[in-house]
Parts: sequence; C-alpha cells; structure tokens
Amino acid sequence: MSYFRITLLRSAIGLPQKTRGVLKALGLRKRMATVYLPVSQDAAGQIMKVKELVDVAEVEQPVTKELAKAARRPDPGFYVEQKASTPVLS
Amino acid sequence: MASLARTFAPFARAVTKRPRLDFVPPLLRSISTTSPIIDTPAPPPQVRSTILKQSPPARIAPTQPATRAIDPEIHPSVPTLLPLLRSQPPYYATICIYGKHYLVTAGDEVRLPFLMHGVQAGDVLRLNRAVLLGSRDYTLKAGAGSDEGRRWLDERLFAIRARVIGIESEPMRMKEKTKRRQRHVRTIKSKHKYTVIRITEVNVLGQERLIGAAEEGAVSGEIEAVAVGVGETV
Repeated sequence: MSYFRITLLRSAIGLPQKTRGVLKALGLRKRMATVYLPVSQDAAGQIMKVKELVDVAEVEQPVTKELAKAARRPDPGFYVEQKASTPVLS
Repeated sequence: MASLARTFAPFARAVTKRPRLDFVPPLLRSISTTSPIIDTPAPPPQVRSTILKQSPPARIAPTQPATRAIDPEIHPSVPTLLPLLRSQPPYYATICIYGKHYLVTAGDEVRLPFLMHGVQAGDVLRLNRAVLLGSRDYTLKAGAGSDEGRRWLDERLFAIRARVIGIESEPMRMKEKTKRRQRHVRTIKSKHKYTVIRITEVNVLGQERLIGAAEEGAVSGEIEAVAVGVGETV
C-alpha cells in the first residue's frame, strides 16, 4: 500500500475558509508539517484542491512521528571511555 | 413510507430541568424509606505527602558509540599522503558534538553550549566524529574526493580524547514578563550550566588500522597538500 507524503510549503494565511478547511482535513496545521495519507481518489482530490500549497511524494511506508524525530536527532559524537575513579561528593 | 414519516416527524428534543435536590415537598418529608439509613464513614482524605510522583529517569551519557563511522571506499590519495600527514605532529581536528563543529588541538579547553548529563569531572570522553584532520601541510577532509559527500571521517583513523573539567554557569539573569496596562509583573530567573572539557590528545592513526578490515572499507577522503613557501602564510 503506498502513501502520499504531503508537506505544506505555503502558509494558509489570507486564504479562503474552504482552502483552510481542506488543509485541516488533511491534517496540515502549520507550514513545513508533513502528513502521510493512503493513496486514494479522495486523498488525490483533496491534494488537487490545495496543489499550489503543498509538495507531494509517493512513498511505500509512512514514517511515524518518533522515527522522524529520531532521524533529526544528531549524533552525540562522543562516548564515555573511562569514568572518574572517585565519586563526586555532592 | 416509514422514512417519510420520520422526516416529517416533529423535531423533538427532550427538555429536562435538573431536579432541585435541596427542595423536598412537605408531604414527602414525613414518608420514611424502607431501607435503614446507614452512615458510611467518609473516605479518609488523601494525604498530600503520600502521593509520590515518579521522577524522570536520570539521563546517562553514552558509553558505546551507537553507530560506527566506517567508509566503504578508499581514496587514492590516502595511501600516499596519510603517512606524510602523520609525520608532522601536532595535529588538529574538527570534531562534531551533537552536530556542532569545534576545531581543536591537544590542550584546548572547550566550553560546550549545553550541560552534559551523566558525566562528572574527571571522566574521559572519546570523541569519535570528526570532519577534518590536519597537520602543518596536509589536511584530510571527509568526502572531499567523492561526489556523494561523506558526513564524517573513518573513525579508525584517529583517536581524540577529552577530559571533563567541570561545569560552568552563566550569571543569574532575570526576565520580567508583563502585559501592557496590567500592574502585574512576573519574574523568571535563568542560570544555565555548561560543561567544560579539555582535549587531552589528538592522534592520527596509521593506515594499518584499515588493512585488517579492508573488506569492510577504508577512508573516503582526500588529502590536500598545502604547499607553504618560506614567508608565506596560509
């Protein structure tokens, strides 16, 4: 099952309520938000209504919020090789 | 026909008034209930001190690297120029800690822009992400020779260690939060802490580290020779 990966690139400020309603139905709350929708005629029609505002790609698997956050997390770049001998007196 | 009747049915919404529990009609007051009135003891009030909240788990520093930075391809400049780079100590390196780059050499003190959890003064850290290794005339850059571009150097080529010195903190600063025409001011205080580390060694290791695992891969970076003439500065 393939999915549409939809990213909102343009803001909905100043746009009519109908267009805002479509974005709300898609789940796009703010700019650069990304949602995954199963490929269907309904979803395609919704995208066509806001096609000037969004970027769409077709992917096989949707990426969950936790996975997307983990992908953004930077590498620590270090690890503790040797702990100090005496514990800190606090 | 049933559906038609349903559509034409009067729209009925039950309007109920909440019964007043404190008002008992005089006639009913004299009528006693059949069940005996039992006074149930009131439940003991929940004592605040016994409600324990689970504190969040203490954050620990990583003791092993999550992933290894090992490159599959070897650049042709590495076998020829890496020995030359190694012949010119001391070395410097551009390390990456949480995505931020620091150009360091042995003996430098780095004040990190955050508090490192799970470490104390005296701990030895191994820094395993570097983008650049250099000596006086030679520089090894990650991904310089390839089109795709590498994020880090092969970690088997260097050994960079640092010791945690301690924790610094900024001076206390107060921020006043208020709204216009409101005579209430809220004060927020901040005193952020920062971990300070000292780079104890920056070592460039030889290519023999890559020979044993030649099947896995080798470094993919280009070494540039910077020719410095007498009196010139780069």
